[in-house]
Amino acid sequence: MKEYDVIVIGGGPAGLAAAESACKAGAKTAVIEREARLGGILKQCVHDGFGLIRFGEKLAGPEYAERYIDFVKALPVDCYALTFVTRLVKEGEGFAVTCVSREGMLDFKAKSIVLATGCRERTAKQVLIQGTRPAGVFTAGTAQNFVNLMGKMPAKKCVILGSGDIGLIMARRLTLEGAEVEGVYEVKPEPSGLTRNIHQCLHDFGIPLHLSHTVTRVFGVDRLTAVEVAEVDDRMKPVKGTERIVECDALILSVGLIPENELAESMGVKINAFTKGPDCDQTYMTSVDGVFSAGNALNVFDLVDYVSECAADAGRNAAHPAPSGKCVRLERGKGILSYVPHRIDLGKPQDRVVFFFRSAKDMDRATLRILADGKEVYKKKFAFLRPPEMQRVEMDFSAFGLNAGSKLSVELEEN
Amino acid sequence: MNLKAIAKRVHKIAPSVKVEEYRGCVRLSGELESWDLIYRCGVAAVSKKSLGVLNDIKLKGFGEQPKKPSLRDDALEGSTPDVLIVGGGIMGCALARELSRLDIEVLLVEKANDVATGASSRNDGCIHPGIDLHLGQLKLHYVLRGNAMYEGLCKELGCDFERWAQTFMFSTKWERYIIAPLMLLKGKILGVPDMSFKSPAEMKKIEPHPPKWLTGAVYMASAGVVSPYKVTVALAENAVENGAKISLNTMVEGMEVKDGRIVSVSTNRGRVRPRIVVNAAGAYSDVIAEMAGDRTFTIHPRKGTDLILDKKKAYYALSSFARSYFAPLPKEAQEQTHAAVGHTKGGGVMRTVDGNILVGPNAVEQPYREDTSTSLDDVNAIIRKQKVAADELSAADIITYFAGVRAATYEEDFVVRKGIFTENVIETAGIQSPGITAAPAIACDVRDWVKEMLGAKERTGFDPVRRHTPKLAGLSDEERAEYIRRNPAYGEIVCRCEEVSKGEIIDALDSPLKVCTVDGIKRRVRPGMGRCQGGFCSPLVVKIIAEHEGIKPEDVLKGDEGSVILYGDSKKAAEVSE
Amino acid sequence: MELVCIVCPKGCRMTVENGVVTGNTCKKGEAFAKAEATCPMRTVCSTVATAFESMPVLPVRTDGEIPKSKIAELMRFINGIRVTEKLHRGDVVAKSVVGTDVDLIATATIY
Repeated sequence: MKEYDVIVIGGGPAGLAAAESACKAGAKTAVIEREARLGGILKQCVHDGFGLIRFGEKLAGPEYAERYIDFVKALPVDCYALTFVTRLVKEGEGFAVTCVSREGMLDFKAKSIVLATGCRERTAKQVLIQGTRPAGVFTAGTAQNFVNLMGKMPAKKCVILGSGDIGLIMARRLTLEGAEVEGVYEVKPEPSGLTRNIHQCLHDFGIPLHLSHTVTRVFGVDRLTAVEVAEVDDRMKPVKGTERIVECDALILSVGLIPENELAESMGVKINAFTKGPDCDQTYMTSVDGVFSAGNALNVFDLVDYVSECAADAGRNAAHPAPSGKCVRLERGKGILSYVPHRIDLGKPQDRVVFFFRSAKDMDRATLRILADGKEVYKKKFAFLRPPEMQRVEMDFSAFGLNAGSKLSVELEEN
Repeated sequence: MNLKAIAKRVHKIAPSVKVEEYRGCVRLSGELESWDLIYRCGVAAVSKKSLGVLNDIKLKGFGEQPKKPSLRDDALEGSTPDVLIVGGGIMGCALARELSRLDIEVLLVEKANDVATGASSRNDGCIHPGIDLHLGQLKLHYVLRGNAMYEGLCKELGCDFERWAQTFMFSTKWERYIIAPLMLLKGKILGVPDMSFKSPAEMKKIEPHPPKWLTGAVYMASAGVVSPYKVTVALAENAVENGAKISLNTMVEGMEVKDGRIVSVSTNRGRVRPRIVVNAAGAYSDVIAEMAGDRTFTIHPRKGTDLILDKKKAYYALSSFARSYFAPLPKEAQEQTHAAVGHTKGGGVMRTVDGNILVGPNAVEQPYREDTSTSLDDVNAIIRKQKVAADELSAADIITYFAGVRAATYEEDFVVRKGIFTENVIETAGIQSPGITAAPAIACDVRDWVKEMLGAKERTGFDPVRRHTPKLAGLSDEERAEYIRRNPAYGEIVCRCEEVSKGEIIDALDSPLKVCTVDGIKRRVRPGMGRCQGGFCSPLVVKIIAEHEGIKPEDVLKGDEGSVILYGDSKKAAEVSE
Repeated sequence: MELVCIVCPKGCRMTVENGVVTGNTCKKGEAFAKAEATCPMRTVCSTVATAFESMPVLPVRTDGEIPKSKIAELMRFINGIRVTEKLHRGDVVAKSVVGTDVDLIATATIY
């Protein structure tokens, strides 16, 4: 049985960054990846825009991934591709990891674990689309795989539901490849994706964006032949009488991402209700000592640069894991949709805490406040906050005078 | 039969309907504007003294285009099987397997591109105890026998079977003290084994999350659960292993009947001259019976929708349960559960054999035999209703839902008999709930009839055990390692949610009943059945099928003909230089 | 002309009137707004066909921006390419595409 200091589960951008930093911090490190190749979902993200913060360049997804693969390959990190973790249990002071691979069942031991398992897409049924079950209903990621990895077209004329980034990117991608995108429909009154994607993916190609609209039904027995779209009211329920049938051969869904935490949950890791990822402290340690979470498994990010940053921190911390000490919970106040970390461990360094958050709604001007025992200990002004665009702030929590009994909360005030 | 009384009942609903006796049946004809009226006329025409209801009332403006395979060849032209089975649902497949015990030639035709594409793959997989049936019903006879057969059958077929009990939960004192003893008594009379009463405290030990309003429950230990499509496929595979032929994409278009005998059966793949025809055509079984000149019943399609919840909620139901429909939920309990409470019968919450929670089904009468589309109203109604028994369930846990069409007759019973007007036909019609439970037992009777009619002998070398690879994720690490040592593809996980390996997918592609579609593979080994619903694995499955079959990815279908997934290369340069 | 800056994720809302840009918070933003108003430029990302079964398409991008008006022409060009060499990330797939001095480069390594 091979023993490691740190085992990173997942070889996408988060896993690679975590492995790199864990190894550089002196830990004997392994990465376990279920697919045949490292790189995760970036392999199929052929569009550019990755790496502006990390590398100061606008790279395509595969370029960004390959750079990190090169970093990791240059280090003494063991990479197990096409290896699937089937069981993860606490054993003594560490963890036992059981994997399925072509070489057989592999057993590993690790002192700490970084879960970098990414996220999955919500499906048509999860947004309660009704009707038949024809071919031609794809999540945007699946469509992206077909087009960008297999070089095959999943649609000739499609409707896209959801203005999340992958949906917008796929609208452009399919248009460039010769398919017609009839329109992008978004149930919310505001777009879900980044502004630059609305601009470059839809406006550039004259693709209409229908806000406060949804797809309610699909038609077609074998292949999709049409969808029914309808306007929604302010509770996002379809309005009777506004239904319209759109003929098309595919429905592509970009209706949200869900962090994949089945392994985490199997270990009893506590999941945060707002990020849907593990509840974590400022070192990205979850509620189970020695288990760290990074990347989209922790919190769905919109920029891979932030994924890398948070994962690198998680990997570094996993190399020298400290047990959980006295923690102060950071409570969610008004104006905030989700954030990490969720608690500050007073036994761990607090001087350079990276705080990621999303606003609950569009705000032209807003003030982020940290309150400790009712007193404002931190404030920062922001312009143009939008829920799809995650914000990053560095804070020195050691200056806030926290103690075990402190009440800590974060809020956003619009001004 | 008292035709006058029947006519009076029918005319109360629709005066324009013509009511007559035809060959011992009650025949209704005319035209009405609502399906509900037509259905109610059919129900009103039921009489114990008639052979059955022939409800030929037309729905104004209604026309359903049945799905037809476009394939036309003469692959079956001139074939002379001893028995032709029409329909590849669980009934047809159970028949094919049972008949393959005899030294005869068996041909099963199915119009879809796989077996188990109709109601057999669109139900809850419950192996019923039979408590809701009545003395004298064929359903009762076959359910009790079928139920007792399942454990052994699944062992032979290599399918999962769990004898997870069914409970009927009461919310009022009067149900507990009046309905419960009556149910136990009924069970005794019907012959339902292993029924008992459970107090709320006893229930708590059986189901860790009983509803707060529980006053007691009737516990039926003889209930069970299977994967209905898996059993159907396994029956078909074992039949093929034993020499039966299955012809997919094959639709019966007509029959030549002469002097009370079927002479030939025409299909899109040629004319077949069977000695015996067994009708197992499910929602179309009345149409096939009509072709055979032997119709004494009418199918009225009844749609049911089921919801599948994430395995994460599996802790919530260790067996299957439903709330008693005799009394509305008491007021306080309604407030506790925040649920609207109806008073309708049927459906429940159950754990599937694969470990998901299934909620449903409901029952909606419809004129369509093939419309299995779902509606938001049905999905919402099921959640609202079953939330009463299981208040932690929510729409957020749904990973998928589906609807099936039950082949119900107006008599609400199976039609299992030898031909009345045509001598070489056998009817196994109206096989709807509890058809999964009953089908293996029905098939045994039909086998005996065929044996007698043809003077056939048992075939030597019949092997009831299906060759198969066990579900690897369910094995111990050592057993799994041994499989991987023999074939490394068993170590390559394709479907992350259900932990399905490439090796298992390839085994399914090499199985005796080869179906190279994404749905066919899904039905056999489950890739895409999990919480991501194939989001991650479907491109891989398409690739594996294409590679294994030596076809292009764009030639891989989802299910039936026309269910194209991909439209070819994105780059014309890729085609040019091939 | 009103537009949202896409130079960085910040997304400044800018206005261009008679060649004067307002609402920007950096020089890059100003340049972008001016270009959008006159000759908008884009980086184009796509894939090209390859001769390799393991990787039927290779991701590519323009190594710089080309006029937005030339995207369709570029796509026609891209769709005709078939790579037969095992290219490495960053390798030039085609030099000076659609009459610009911008190259088309591979954004992944053929494995």
